[in-house]
Amino acid sequence: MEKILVVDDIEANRKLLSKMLVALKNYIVIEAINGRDAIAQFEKEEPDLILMDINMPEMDGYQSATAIKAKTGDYYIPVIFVTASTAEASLTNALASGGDDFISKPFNVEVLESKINAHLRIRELNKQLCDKNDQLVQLNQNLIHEQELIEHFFESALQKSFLDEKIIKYHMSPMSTFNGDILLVERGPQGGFYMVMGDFTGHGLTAAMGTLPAALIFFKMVKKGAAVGDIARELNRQLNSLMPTGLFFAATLLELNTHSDIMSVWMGGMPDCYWIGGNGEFKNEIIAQHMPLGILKDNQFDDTTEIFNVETGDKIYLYSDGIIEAHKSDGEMFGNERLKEILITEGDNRFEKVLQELKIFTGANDQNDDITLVEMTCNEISAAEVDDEIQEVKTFFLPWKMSMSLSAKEMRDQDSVTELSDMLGSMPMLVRHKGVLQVLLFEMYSNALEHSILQLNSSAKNNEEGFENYYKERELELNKLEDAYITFDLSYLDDRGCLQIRIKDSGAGYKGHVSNDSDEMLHGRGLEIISGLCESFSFTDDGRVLEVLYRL
Amino acid sequence: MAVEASISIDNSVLTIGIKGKFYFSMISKFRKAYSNDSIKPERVIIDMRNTSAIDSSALGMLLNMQRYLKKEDGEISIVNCNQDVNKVFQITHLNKKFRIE
Repeated sequence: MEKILVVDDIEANRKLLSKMLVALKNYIVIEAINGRDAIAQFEKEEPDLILMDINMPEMDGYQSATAIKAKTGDYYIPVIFVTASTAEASLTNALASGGDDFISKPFNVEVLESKINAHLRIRELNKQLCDKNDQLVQLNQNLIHEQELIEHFFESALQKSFLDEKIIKYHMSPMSTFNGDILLVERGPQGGFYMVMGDFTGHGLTAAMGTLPAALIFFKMVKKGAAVGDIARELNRQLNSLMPTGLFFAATLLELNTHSDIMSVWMGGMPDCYWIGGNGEFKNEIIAQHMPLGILKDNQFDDTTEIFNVETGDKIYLYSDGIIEAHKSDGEMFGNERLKEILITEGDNRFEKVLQELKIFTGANDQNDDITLVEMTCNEISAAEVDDEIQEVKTFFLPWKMSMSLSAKEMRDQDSVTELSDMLGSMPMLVRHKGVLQVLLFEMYSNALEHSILQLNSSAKNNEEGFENYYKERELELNKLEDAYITFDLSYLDDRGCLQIRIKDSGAGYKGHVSNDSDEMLHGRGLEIISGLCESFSFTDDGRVLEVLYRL
Repeated sequence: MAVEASISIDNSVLTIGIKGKFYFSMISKFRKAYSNDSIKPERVIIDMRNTSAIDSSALGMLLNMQRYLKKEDGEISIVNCNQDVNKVFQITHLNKKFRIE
């Protein structure tokens, strides 16, 4: 039940009014004896409506009403003045002091009732509105907080970009906080650089969602020095499984080599790029050959890239469709031709000119899509410093020995030696040497198999035809081979920090030597590699045993 | 294990990518990649970003290619080699015949 505060300095008046109110609707009635007391009661009891006498000692009704209204804020507390004299009986006076209505004595019960009802109804409506408003403010605050968190995610994921002004000039203007356009640039592990510029379907958070996985995949693949087509394939595969149907990623992926003369491009669903030479001459349009990423299943995906012979100083212009689709209020679009025209006719300031013209063209018309413009200049970029992920954890290892023997059957399996080097490479002490050991073991093995066991003659390899015939014969002889073995004996000599590899075969023996002038020769490189990789090597047992020492 | 050849739009650059181990088992695939009489590329690039290892026969294959295409020393580029592959080129001094990037 609503609570009504009755303010009057005369007790009899208060009691009379209270009785009437209780009789009317069983209101909870509280009383105050003057204007100051009214303020105290208002704060303590939080009444829904106030019936206020005007002439009172200490503080009159007008002052009290003004003070109370100052405290209510957006919430509506009706203050109805109770007046005795006709002189006071004006709505103007009542409203001027912040009151809401007046009622004159002697009371007409019906008038009193209808006035109270009317004001309580307004109060109820106002209360609902204020509560809703409070909820909205709260929700909005939560939303802003969440957006800040998400922005943080995006920034952390995207800020790794290598946006060096020597190679990249860009303009990105999102329609909202989150952007469905994406521009990432990173240096390759061997120098050169990679770029992805693209546009997710839609705008705002929905569109921006996809940029996170896309960025993570891009940076990861670039770190491995992957080819553009392979990055496109991986992006497509992941986005296809992540994103709902209808959401996809139009993108241009591009790699420029260390010497900035070869550019590989995979382009799907993007508007044509323009390629302008260092002297301002128009070189070519680069046209998307593929569908956007995220649509096709992996087995339908085409990772074919196009390769362009570029020169240092060449410029490539990439943009999202927001630019060509920007329109005037009459619907006319900016369009490809206008963009191309500016790029061809303007000089080195063509990037700025496009943005200027675009602004003049659209005028006051609201931007209705994310807009991105990128100018890429072909320039040499040195390799990023690569973190050395493998750390020296241990410098002392126990000595060990191992032995493995291959029979003819196992020699026919090309992967036998790979298996051995994989096994060795998995040992902590040899992890860093895996690649080199693989080459070393393979060359030692080839030497034993081809020359000692199969007795093939290397000089047959001296011309192109002979080279292929040699390997055909190798296969033929190997298939006929029976009762043969090649044994590997490996020992770690802890006192010398060396790995000793001894390979022994059942063949006739072969003592090779490293030739001094083999630049033009198609053979004789096996031993050269072995001697280059090892501290020492020596043949014994008429060339049936080759022993090398490899420093770890 | 695969050999992929692609030619630039203007037919001037032939790029050959080698996936996996560049061993003698790739001989015919590799030869097919460059022995195409219809194209006369000015530049040849061997992309080894996906090449995990090479052996001595691979060096022979590369020299064969150089002869077939009649290219001078340094006209064929070998790019994106990993450290181990690089080492083999250095040991065998083939970094003088090919431009190793």
